[in-house]
Amino acid sequence: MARIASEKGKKKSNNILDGWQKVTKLKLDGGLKQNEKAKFEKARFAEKQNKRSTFVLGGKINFCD
Amino acid sequence: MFIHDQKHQIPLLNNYLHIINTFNCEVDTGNNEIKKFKITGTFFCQQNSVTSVCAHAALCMTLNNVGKDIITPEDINKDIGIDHIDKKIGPQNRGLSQEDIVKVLKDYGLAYTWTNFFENPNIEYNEYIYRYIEGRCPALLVFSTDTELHVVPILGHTLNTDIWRPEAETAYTDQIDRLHYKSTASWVDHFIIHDDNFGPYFCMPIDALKRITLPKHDRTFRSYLAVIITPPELKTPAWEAEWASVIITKLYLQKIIDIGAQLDDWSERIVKTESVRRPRPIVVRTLVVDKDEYIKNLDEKDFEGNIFTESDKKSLTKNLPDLFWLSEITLPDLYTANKSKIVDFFYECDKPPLSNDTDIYKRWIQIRFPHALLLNSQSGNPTALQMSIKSHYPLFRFEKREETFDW
Repeated sequence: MARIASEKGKKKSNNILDGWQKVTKLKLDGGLKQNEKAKFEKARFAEKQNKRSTFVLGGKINFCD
Repeated sequence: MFIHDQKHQIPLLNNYLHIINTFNCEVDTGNNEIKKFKITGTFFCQQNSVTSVCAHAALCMTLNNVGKDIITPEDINKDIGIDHIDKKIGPQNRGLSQEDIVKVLKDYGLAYTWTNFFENPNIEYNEYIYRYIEGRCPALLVFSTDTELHVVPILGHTLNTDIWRPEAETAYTDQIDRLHYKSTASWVDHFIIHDDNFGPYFCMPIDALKRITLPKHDRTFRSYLAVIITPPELKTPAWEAEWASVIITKLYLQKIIDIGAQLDDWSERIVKTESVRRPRPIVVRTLVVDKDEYIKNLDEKDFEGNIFTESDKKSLTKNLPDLFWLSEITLPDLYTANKSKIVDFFYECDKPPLSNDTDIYKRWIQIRFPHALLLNSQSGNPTALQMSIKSHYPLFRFEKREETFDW
């Protein structure tokens, strides 16, 4: 019984690996969806803003509207 | 720490201090004898409001928790040219400018990244900070008071594995898309901070500094900005690594389904968790990891008792850089109850911010699924290797420097 279970397990592992080996040969869809592009764009914009502005730790608040 | 009734100290439940150091201490007994001993903990100091402000205290606390030599606020003043005669500091003058911070950090061989939450209110400050603090990158959190900005160092966090919101939000709304997942930050209910106006080891509720209003309408007592102290080679932002992990992992899992190939039981649960009437989120924990620490985590057993073979370990580590982003992908119950993960996603951390979104497909290093490891290739197709781990596996842990008490 243990031997049959072990062989079944090995066969399952091999099947799973076969699947991954097939998938790695396929072209990965390179496009982001529209909402994903928007999220990425927002996040990158935030980073660019950081490069343009500066910060001060502590001190009086200086809010610019 | 608290004293158990058997006079034995055990740590507080689900308190995780990530920014700690071991300090060499000496006591002169007065009998020409110096007693030496070590204390492991986090450094605390206060501003004096005359020659130093909260920024000095926060920066001192942070640097003393990562460095070897103890520095004082006056050391910082000397470094940035404050002589208290021609150049002064104090509450009537200024805080520490970005230029000052950069100079001090450079002298320590450290770098930083930062973001302003008033200018970017869509960024959840707790998620932003958590991804770095989890990898032991110290954070300085600045928040607004009625008239000033106050800064506190963040040293760690607490965890509440019974929080209802992350799963309820997914189940009771219909916002399912590829980037709809829950960061493990969702289960963090407090940051552990030192506040030099109050004292050490306070638990700051995450929600204390969150607002649903926009900053321009409601400016007081909310998160303002965070400065994260990083190793110099860390350039890629955490959000990019985390979003790439979700998009690319889901893409590969969908490809397996599309070609009708067999998936392991746990990866199949990731695919099925969202396509039901009351979906449950996938959960992602992203942190920056160094290769040596990752290798130490390869000696655990998965849920079925399997271990990584020596050949598996070699395959897993041969392409890894010294420092990288690790995103652990799992399911809510596996995270909160088993403290385990299904997928490890490895992403480069030394690349500049994206100029082209599809560069995420070049920047992933490898993905470990149960049964298989996918290795990315810059020149050709990825390759798939067999792995001995077939089930969910314990979450990554840094080597323990102090005792924790986990639920």
